[in-house]
Amino acid sequence: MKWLILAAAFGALSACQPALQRIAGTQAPQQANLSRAEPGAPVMRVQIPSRNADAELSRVATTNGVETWLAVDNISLAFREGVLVGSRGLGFDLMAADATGTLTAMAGQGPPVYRRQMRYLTGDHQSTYLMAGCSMTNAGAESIGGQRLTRLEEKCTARGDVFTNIFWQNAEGAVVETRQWVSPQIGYFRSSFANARPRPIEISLD
Amino acid sequence: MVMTRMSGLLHKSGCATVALALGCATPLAAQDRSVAWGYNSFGTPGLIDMPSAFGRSDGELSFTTSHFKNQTRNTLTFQVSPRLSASFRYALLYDIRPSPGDPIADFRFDRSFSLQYRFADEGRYRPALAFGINDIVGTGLYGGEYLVASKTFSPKLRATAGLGWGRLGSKNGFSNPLGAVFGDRFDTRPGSTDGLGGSFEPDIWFRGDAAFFGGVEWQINDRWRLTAEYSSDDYAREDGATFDVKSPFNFGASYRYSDRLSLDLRYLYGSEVGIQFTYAVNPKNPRFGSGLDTAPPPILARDAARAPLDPASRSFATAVRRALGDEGIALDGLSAEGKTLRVQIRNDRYAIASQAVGRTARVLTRLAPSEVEVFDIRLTAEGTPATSVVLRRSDLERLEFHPVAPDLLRVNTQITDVTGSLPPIDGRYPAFTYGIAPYLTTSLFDPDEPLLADIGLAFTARYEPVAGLVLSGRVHQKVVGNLDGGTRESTSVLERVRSEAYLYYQGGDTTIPELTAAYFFRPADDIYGRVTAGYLESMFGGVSAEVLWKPQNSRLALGTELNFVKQRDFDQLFGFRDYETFTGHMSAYYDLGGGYHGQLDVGQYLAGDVGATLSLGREFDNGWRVGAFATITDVSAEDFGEGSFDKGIEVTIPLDWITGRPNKTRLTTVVRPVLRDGGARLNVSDRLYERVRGVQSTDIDATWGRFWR
Repeated sequence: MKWLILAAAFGALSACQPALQRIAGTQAPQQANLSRAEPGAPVMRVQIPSRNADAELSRVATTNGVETWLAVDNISLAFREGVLVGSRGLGFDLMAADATGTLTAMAGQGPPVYRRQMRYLTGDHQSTYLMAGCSMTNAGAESIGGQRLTRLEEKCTARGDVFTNIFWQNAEGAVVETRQWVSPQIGYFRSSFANARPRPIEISLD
Repeated sequence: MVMTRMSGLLHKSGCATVALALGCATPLAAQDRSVAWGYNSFGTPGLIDMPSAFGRSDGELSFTTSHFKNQTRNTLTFQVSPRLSASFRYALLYDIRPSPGDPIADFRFDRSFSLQYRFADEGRYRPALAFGINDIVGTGLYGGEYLVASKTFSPKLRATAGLGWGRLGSKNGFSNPLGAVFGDRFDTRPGSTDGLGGSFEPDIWFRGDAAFFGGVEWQINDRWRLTAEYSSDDYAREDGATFDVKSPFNFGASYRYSDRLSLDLRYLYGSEVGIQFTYAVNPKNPRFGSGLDTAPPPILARDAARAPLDPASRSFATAVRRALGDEGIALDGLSAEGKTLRVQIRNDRYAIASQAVGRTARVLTRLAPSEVEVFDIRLTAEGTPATSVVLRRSDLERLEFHPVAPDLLRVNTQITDVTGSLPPIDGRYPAFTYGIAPYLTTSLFDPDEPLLADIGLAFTARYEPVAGLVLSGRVHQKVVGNLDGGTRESTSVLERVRSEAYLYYQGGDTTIPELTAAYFFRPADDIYGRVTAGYLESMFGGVSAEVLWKPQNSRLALGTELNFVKQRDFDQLFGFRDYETFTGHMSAYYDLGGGYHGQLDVGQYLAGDVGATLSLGREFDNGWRVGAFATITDVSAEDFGEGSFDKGIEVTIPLDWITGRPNKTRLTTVVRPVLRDGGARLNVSDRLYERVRGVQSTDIDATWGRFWR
């Protein structure tokens, strides 16, 4: 009986393996990319329910405080201090977004209601914008994976879409877990840092 | 007659490998108030057999096939604008009287072209109002016109009432109310005088008796809809022959399987069951959004770039060439001068040039030494320089994740014409590529054999000894098909330049459709040139020369093409037949705005006839195009034969729109009711207008947001 359970568990694990490698689901990699993970960079685990995808991402670039994280099949997500500011390779990608209001609100500052601007591409390759009105609430402490974290909920309304992003901060105020909304077609993804997330490397251009 | 061709890099024609994925269930979009809920059995927006005043969503292209007792209608409908829809239909009719009262014919193959225009939108009290003509150029079997009003009473209930003429005025008809307004000539409907079909007969439209029709639609939920209607068509040609008409009332149930696919089941005229399948796509809504193209390389800020190489060194050029190669972009030339780094590229992967420019810029930020501040990225068309895009590197570093990055980046970006080539990098030429791909050649709507097709393998090779000179060839090996089964002998009184296509199809299983040497050049600013010699297409060989004037940002382009050609042997190998001719055109291309484009070609055609071709089309920035063309030459309708003059519909679908994968290939299908010898043009590859347009500023600016994709 024990062997059976072990065998079943092993089978389940090996079945998970391909899904872990590919964030885009069944799509095969198109080519090798010149982007390479920074040496010793931490790992991020991302799940996208609408794609039935689960993948590990490595950080490949940090520019102006924005970190770009890449999966092995060349799908990338970009974050500014934990807030999603772009995705590539998901089809209905977030081309860019403004994180300022969210970051200010997470720090407990700024107006109670603020704007988030998000850019997408239409099926005809035109830029199209979604302007969301958002508000941040502190939903108290929560324990995830043995860590005691603060749960912040950002409720947003944009045209017909209503979504709630959730950020979990550790004691140092760094965002270590999130559930964020990408686009109407992709919906939410969930991200968590496998290692404690270091402060982003700031590069000044001025 | 249909010709399917691909205009990709290696596969220039005859090849199509695509099946449109059917009906993946997707979340159903909310219904728009001004959009018709379904298509009727004629494939136009409407109820069951009757039309309604609403149109479909702007740009939608649909294919419907509708069948009931002894008759099948296949229709392609395009929502040309929010108000105008146009349909091309072919019907297979068994046991029908060609005219009411005639003896019964075993079989009729009928083609018709129809239009519907909504001249008033629905208001709070006013219904939407439209008129339509069901057989503008055709043989008149479905000839009928209507004026129709539709009103939405609730999100679930709509009603339609209308007045029909011709076929739609045949049940309980009364004397034409238009007669009272416009005079007696509207009281009687003259019989069709056109034996050949294909000519306009406006003196029939809206004439003769009129009758009322109407119906109601009940949208039960997202997926199901019930419809009931009173039909004003008495089916006089079919009643008692094809089927029995027992009642003017029709009832239908519609099921929407997905955004694209729906099915209809109907009970018709008190005696028959009908079924309809509808597949509708909107070019604006690709399945994969902005595409599944992998993430681009992130931009690197200068300080983070690793050990920069000397831009004058060979190893730097090699590094750039490799990195661009990973993105599917070939490096033709490179030069560095102070703060400016220039690269000349060939985009082999991305349908949209802006994306190729964006990826090139990203690659350069990762490799260029920090003193380089300006990137000059030069796009090419067939190896010749075309457009220079000059960007500031600091903008790229600053804007990568900015919410309005496209607009901010464009401020300091210059897009201009460029005629001079950069020095080619070592080893760029000569270049040799080859490929194998399946091909599909079809011949539809042949009056005797409506569906003929060949499938086989296309072997392509391309050799470029120097920039701009291309030696290329294509060999077709047929694997399976029935194209050689067409035996409709040409009865043409003109030179048989196209009507003996069936002899070419029978000519052999191994053919060489193309074997050419082509030279592309830039004689002056805004001017492009091409000379092609060899076996130009499957039926003609010779020499073709073209010059195009197409300034950046100009709505107007002008071109001239001169060809001296000789007819090829039916086996499509190396021999020629006796017929040789001069053919050439002056062409004007005009961007009418809003995605509408026009083209006028005036000149001498293959059979020596002189005339002009007018083409009108709607284009989408993703490469979709739906258009129609007509050619009038000095050949009379009698000499031309069936159809009276050459005309057709052209649909272009970009392959990346279907697959979500980056690809420059476009699938073009030309649908002609009948292919004859009058108004026939040479089918030479790489005509300049289509080659040049995609890399010029008008297209780049329209899709500039894709720079960052």
